[in-house]
Amino acid sequence: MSSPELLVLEDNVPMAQVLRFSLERAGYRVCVASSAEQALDSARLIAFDLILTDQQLPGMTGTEFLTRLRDIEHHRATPILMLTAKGLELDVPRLRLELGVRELFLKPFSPREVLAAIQNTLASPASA
Amino acid sequence: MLGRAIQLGLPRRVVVHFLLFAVASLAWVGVSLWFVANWQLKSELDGDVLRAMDLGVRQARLAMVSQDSHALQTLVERLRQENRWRFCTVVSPDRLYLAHSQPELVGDPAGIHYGDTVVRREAKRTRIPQDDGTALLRYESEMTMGERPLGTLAVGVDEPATWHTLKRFSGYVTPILIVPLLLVLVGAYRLDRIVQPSEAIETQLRRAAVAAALSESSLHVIPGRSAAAQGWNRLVGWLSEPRHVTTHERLAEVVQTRRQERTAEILHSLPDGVVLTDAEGRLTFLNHTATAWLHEEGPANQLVGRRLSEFLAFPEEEEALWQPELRSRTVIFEIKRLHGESEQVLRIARFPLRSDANGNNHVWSLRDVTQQKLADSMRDQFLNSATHELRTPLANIKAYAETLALTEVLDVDNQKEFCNIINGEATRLARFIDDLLSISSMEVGSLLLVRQDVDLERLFREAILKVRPQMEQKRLSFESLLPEKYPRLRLDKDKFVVALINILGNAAKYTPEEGRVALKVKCVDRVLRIDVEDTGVGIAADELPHIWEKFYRSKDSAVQQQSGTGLGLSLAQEIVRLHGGEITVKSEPGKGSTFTITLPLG
Repeated sequence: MSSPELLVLEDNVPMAQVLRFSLERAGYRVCVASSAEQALDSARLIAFDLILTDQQLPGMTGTEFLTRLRDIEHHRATPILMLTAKGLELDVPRLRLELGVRELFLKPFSPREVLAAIQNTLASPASA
Repeated sequence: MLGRAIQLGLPRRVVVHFLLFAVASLAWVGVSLWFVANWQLKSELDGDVLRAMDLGVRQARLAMVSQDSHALQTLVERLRQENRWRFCTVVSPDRLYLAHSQPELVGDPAGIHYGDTVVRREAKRTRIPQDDGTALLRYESEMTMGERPLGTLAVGVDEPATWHTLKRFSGYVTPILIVPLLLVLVGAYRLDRIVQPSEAIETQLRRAAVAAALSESSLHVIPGRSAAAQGWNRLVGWLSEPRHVTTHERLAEVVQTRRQERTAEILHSLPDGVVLTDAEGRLTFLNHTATAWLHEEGPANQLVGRRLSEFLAFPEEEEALWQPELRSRTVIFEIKRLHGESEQVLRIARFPLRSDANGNNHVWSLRDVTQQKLADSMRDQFLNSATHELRTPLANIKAYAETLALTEVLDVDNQKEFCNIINGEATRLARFIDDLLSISSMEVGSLLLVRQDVDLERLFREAILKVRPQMEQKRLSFESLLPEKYPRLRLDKDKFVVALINILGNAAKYTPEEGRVALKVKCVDRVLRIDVEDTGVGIAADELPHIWEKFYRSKDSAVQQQSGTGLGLSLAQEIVRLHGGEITVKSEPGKGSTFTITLPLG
């Protein structure tokens, strides 16, 4: 049984690097995309087990990315964890219910907490 | 003339009456005097003569009956002498002198006498004027015996001298009476003059009494200096002031008009639009601002009577605008509309008119909040960016710090790298906070320069160093052209470096990979000239004037993709300006931009 494969969508280079470091240390396979387009391309090819994405992406919001992601057949129900620098303006209910965002992390966040959340999410089967 | 007399006013009539009565009185006096005197004298004379004749008649009758002609003759002579008459005679019925004081005339036919005859008791008296101006009075008395006429006793009496006097006197009466008459006439004239103002006034009043409608032209000013004339003229002047009613009403009217004018003035002076609508939503009033905003081609008053909804798109979700039962509710909403060539955001508030209990009439307030909206959106954009710019480095610091702390076995290289990254992010954060503070200072106007002698070469090198990582990351080629000798310049080093870094940083940020950035520094004509060229995305011509504005970020997606607060250029410009310099830009979209800083030397 191979380790879960994660997609990390983050355009900030240091952040992407530290995430890769932590996640690989935890035993996951990590694919990093620095733009939504890149991420969607990868997602079409690979059926990731979980996607970690930033809300603010160049050229597209995280919400828009997710909407397009859900059009991909094998990513209809992929669990999503979201990182964001925004707070109040997000339509949290919609993100959770419609777009399947399991957890929302406000920057600055604790990588340990994110890791824990990933573990929990992967452990429990997909709940819509 | 009689016709005019009828139209005489009361005062004139008084004068005329006075005149007539005075003249009549005088005439009466004159005439009466004359007649009375005349008559009195005459009757006195008559009395004497007739008395004497009475006696004579009795005696004559006796003599005639006894046919004593001698006695008759003696009688007439005696009578004449006693009474000092001119003559005395008895005439027979067949008109022959039977006896005469002039004896030679006895037996002659009696003469015919011409003159005025009056009857005096039983005697006739005839006045016979004489050639010398005097007159002879001839009295005749019939004598009868039973029914048989005996004859006539006639006496001739000289008109008394007093009569002549009187006659002459009567000649004077006229002139004597003329004086008072003239006085009366003069007096009447004077009176007329005096009453003329009253006359004029009374005439106007009489005309006003019968006029169909009164107007200012009913009453005129009258000539004259009398108090009454002046008073009247003042009154007429006051009455002919336009729209005169009573003073009280006029005052109230003036105050009311002023208030209305004032209110309208106030409404028209407001920068907000104010309109009134009736129960059907038709415009009944617009102030100037509203007229300017709502009007189409044509004069402004075409707007009155039309529905407000023709000009403004009411939002459907505002029920109170559409449902009549909610008409007394206050509604506030915003709409976007095209005004001229630009978009306008109006905040519209509808209130029921206070005096209107049913809420049928509404007053609408229209406020142009376009600028506000723009400012708000720019501020929101800034806040978003600022939040992002603050949180991103902070997130990195935390992530790396926690990982560093929690990872059990971490090789030294990684450790070092992590610490460096933490350091770098901290610096980035610090600089951003500085930028924010500088911007605040700029807002307040309290950005101060601390000038010092500066090593320009070091300054440029420092800036280049700071930007190098960015450029290397994007594999940009960097070229620098720096002079060998630098002039002496007193600058605020820290701030100027920030400005430089902002410009260089922008060049790097907005130039796609494998592009080119150049820094060229020159001293020319007592001016230090710094050019920063790039082969970046460039700036569109219509955005060029705006790039210096705080928080301004280009709509170009290539720019939006990069993180930025829109403050960098604004800050750089302010810093350069405070140094007495200028910063300009030339750009071609798709080709690149060149920013030029010029600083005066010395």
